[in-house]
Order: sequence, then C-alpha cells, then structure tokens
Amino acid sequence: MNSGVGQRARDTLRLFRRSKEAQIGGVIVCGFLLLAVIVAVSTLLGIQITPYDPIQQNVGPALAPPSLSHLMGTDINGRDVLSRIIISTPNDVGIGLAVVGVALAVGLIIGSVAAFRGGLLDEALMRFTDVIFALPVLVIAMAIAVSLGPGVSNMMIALMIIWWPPYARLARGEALRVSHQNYIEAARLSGMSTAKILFKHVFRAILVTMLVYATLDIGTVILLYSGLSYLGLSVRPPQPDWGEMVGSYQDYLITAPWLSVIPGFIIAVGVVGFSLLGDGFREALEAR
Amino acid sequence: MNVFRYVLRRIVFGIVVLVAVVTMTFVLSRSFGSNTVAAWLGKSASIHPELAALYAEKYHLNDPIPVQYYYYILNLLQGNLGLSPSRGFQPVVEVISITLPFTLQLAFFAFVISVILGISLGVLSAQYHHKPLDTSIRAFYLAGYSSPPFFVALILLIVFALIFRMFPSGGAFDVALTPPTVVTGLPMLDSLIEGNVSYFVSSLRHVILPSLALALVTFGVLTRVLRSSLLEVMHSNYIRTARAKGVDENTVFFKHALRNAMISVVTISSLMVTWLITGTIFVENIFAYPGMGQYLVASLAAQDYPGVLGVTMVFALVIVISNLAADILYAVVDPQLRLG
Repeated sequence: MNSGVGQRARDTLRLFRRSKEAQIGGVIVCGFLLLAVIVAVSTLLGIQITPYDPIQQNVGPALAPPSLSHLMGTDINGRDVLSRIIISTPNDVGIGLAVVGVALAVGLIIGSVAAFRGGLLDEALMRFTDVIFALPVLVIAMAIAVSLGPGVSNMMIALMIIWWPPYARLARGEALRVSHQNYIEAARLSGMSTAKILFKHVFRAILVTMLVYATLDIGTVILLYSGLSYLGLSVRPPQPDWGEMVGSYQDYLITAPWLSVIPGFIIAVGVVGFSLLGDGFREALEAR
Repeated sequence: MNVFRYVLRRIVFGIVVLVAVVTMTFVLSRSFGSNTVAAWLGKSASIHPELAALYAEKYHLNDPIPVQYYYYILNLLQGNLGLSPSRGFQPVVEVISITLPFTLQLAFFAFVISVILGISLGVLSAQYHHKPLDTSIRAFYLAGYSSPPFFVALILLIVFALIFRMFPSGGAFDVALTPPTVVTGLPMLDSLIEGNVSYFVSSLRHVILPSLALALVTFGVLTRVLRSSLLEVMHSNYIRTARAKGVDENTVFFKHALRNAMISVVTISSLMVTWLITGTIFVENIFAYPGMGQYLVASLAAQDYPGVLGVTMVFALVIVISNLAADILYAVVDPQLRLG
C-alpha cells in the first residue's frame, strides 16, 4: 500500500519531467512561493528587503515612469510600485494556498465519509454539495464580504465557505473507486473502524489526485481573490495588494497606464504558472 | 431516464439553489452586527431616527427571526428588494430593471464572440495538433483565462480607446441620441424594432470593447474542452470505421467528430455563462457601462446593503436560469439522454 502510493507519486513525477510547459509552470510557481516566503520571513524579522519602504510616501517623484531607480515607476503619492508589488506576494499566494488547503481538507472528509457511509448520509451530503456548488462563487463571496466587512481574513473566510464542493465530489468519486479494492476489504473484514480505514488507507490513496486538482485550483483562487481585492474588499489603505493596486491606480490610466497594467500582469503570470504546473501534473497522472 | 423527467429534476434543483441563495442572503442581511436597521439605512438611520423606526416597521426588522424570514420571502415574491441608499432610496427593483438590460446586452455579445472564438480556435487547434498553430492557440487561451477580467479590460481600454481612439472609452450609447421607446426592455433590440439606426450603431460601438474583454477571458474554457474532446473522438472506433468506409476527411471531421465533441462543449457552457455574468462586474466598472455590475460596485463602495443583496439575488437568478438552459440543451443534443 505504502509503496503503491510512493510508486504512483514517482511515476507522476517522472512523466511530469518530460513536459516543458509544466516545467515553466514549476519555475514560475517556485519563484512566487520563494518570494512569498522570503517576504513573509523578512517582515516578521523586521528586515526591509524591498528597494524602498512600500508604505512610505515620496520616496521618488509622483507618477514617475519606470526607470533604473524605480523599476516599475512610482504612484501618485511617490511610493515605489515594485516594492508594493513585492510586499503583496505573501498575501495573494498565501490566500491561494490557505483557501485551497481548507477546501481540500473539508472536501476530503465530506466526500470520503459520504462514499464510505453511503445511504441517506451520502445522499444528504452530496445534494448539499451540489447546491453549494451551483452558487455563483464571486457574487456570494461579495455578499459574505459585505456582511463580514472588508479585510484580508474576511475575504479568505468568504472564499473558504464556498470553495470545497468540487473537492467533495472528487473525493467521493475517488473514495468509491478505492473502496472496492482488496486491501480496503481486508481492513474492513479485520474489524477496523470506518474512521481508521479512512485515515490509514483511503486519504492516502486519493490524496495524489486531490493534490493535482488543488494545484490547478490555486490559480483560480488567486484570480478570484484579486477580483475581490480589486473591488476594495480586501486590504485597507495604505496596505498594498495586487488587485487593489490595479483598482486604485485605474484613475491614472491616461497619465500613468503602467501603474494598473503591471500588477494586473503579475496576477496573470502567477495564475498561468499554477495552471501550467497543474496541467502538467494532471496529464502525467492521466497518462500513467 | 427520459428527457421530461430529467428536465423536471433540473428545474426542481434550480429552485432549491435559488432558495439556498435567498436563505443565505437573508442570514447575511441579518448579521450586520447589532443594529440591522442602521446597517440597511447607512448614515441616515442616526440622522433620521423616525425614518429608521418606519423602515424597521415596514420590513419587520424588529420581529423574531422566523417572522422576519417569512416577510423577507414575501417581499421578494412581491418583487420588493428594499430601498437603495446609494441611489437616493430608489427601490432596488427599479434600479435593477434599468441596469439589468444593459448587463444582458453585454453578456449576449460577449457570449456570441466567446462561442465563435472558442469553437473556431478549438477546431483549428485540434486539426493542427502539435503544430505551431496549436501551440500558439493554447498559449493564447491560457493567457486569456489566466488573466483577471479587469486586466484584459484595462489593456483593451488603453490600446483601442485611449491610444488608437477606435472605440469610445465608456458608456453604453452616445448620450446625445434619443433612446428608443421601450418595447422589449433591451435598448439595442428596441432601437432595431423602432428603426433607430444611429442609436443601434452607437450602442454597438460602445459594447464591442467590454464584450470583447469578457469574451477573451471566457473563450478559453470552450477551446480547451473542445480541443481535448475532439482529439479523443478522433481516435475512437467509429471515426476509424468512417475513414475505412472511404468517407472524406472533412465529412469525418465536421459531421462525425465535431458533432459529438460539441456535447462536451454544451456541458461546459454553463460554467462559461457563470464566468461571463460575474465578469460583467469588473468590465462594466472599467468601461462605465451602466449595467447591474456597475451598480453592484457602486453599492459595495457605498455600503448599500440592499443594493448588494438585491444584485446578488438577480445574478444568482440569471445564472440558475442559464444553467437550466444549458442542461435542457444538453438533453436535446445528447442522444444517450434523448433516446435512452
């Protein structure tokens, strides 16, 4: 069993290495993750790694175009845009990881319990999942956001509440697939409790598939979160965030179009990275 | 399962989803902290306490929760979504009836562009599998669906409206023109009926950039699904049989393969519609297009709760209806469901 999962993961990785697109995605994702960790750690330690203080005003002239001293230019308050973009990385990447992580855990439990218990509980859990799944995510997230009030953690909670249904569906299908395999039957016959079977065998067996889906999904969460942030529902000024920057710099489209374009482009690059990586994993998993 | 029962089940499911949305918005609307009335009326609640009392009375905001829920549903069924503080306390329903047609217009054009782009690129991509054209198409749709709608909209706005000045940068029509008399409620359709060509042309020029922006972030879903299902179908036995019979390659591709691959496109189209509808929120905001999305953004900024929740429900309704339409279409095109 253990070697089975290990073998699966190894096979997937081997096929993955053949795909150039997946590798590009991997490089982008690793870059973003690394930057996020470095920024988060340095913020905790109180070390400034950005070229300028991202909050400090008038570190340069207002609305200066990109130059050597300010690689991405400056905003209306003379703040360095590059520094503001760098400092926002842990926020956007972190929310992607956190929302997907929670969705995966919740979905894993709901889906596999539904599959293993069956009957009325299965029916009830899956119909509930269907209904939540059919809700328009962005709009509901906004409604939740409005009642909780704006803020990074509130946006995260709003997304977590509605993000798990596809994971529950996936987990149920996968759990049903493994539930008829011999080692599970054997565990059941040996008198192991359902909870123990789930934790010891099922979660392990279906985790690879779930993780592949999750990788593909992180980009979508970042995309959606950037939308909420763009609408001003996330960080409070003067804290920067990619989506928020596009939104608030939109007023200077004629005089300084790069201000909005650059953070928007950064979001797109990050999402492309996760999509390529996730696609690579998925193809490798399917090809096996 | 026969088609009728299938459709009936989908309708019941749609209603359940709507009830869930309504319940959710109700719970949210009652959880704005201690004072619901203050939250609903904004600043004016403290300035005009007598107005606040009247409002609480009218919407039964001081009654027990189940009673409130009853009146909430009753109000909804009567088309009463409350008053919108950000619009001078105009009824939310009125604001929505003015803005919804514009959003539908925009979504319609975006849908048409998206389907044309999505299907033609999907076909090309499959026909030129692993050739440079396929690779560039894949890069194009990946960039499209990975980009936030507001980013694509801004790029189009900067390039085609601000730099080249080919299209207007905002609005839904030239304000100097007289709008058509209301027949269907959709201004562009009405102007066609009335023969008001200048209004129609002006509307068309205003709708192109926003709908193109929306289409660019959504067509990729179609292209991707169509491409992969075409590639799968082309390797199936019945295609090999058709080829073996000597059917020419174009007939094989368009008559046998494409028709079957389209089933998966119909399945995914409901997802596409959801993206389109929610995308209007950003695109309308950037192009100052006077639709429901722009009203939602303005309501968010002004903490106009009735506005936000009203638009949320109408968006949900539109999405449920379009998903239902996609399900019914699916029943029509999939022979397994039709004949089985």
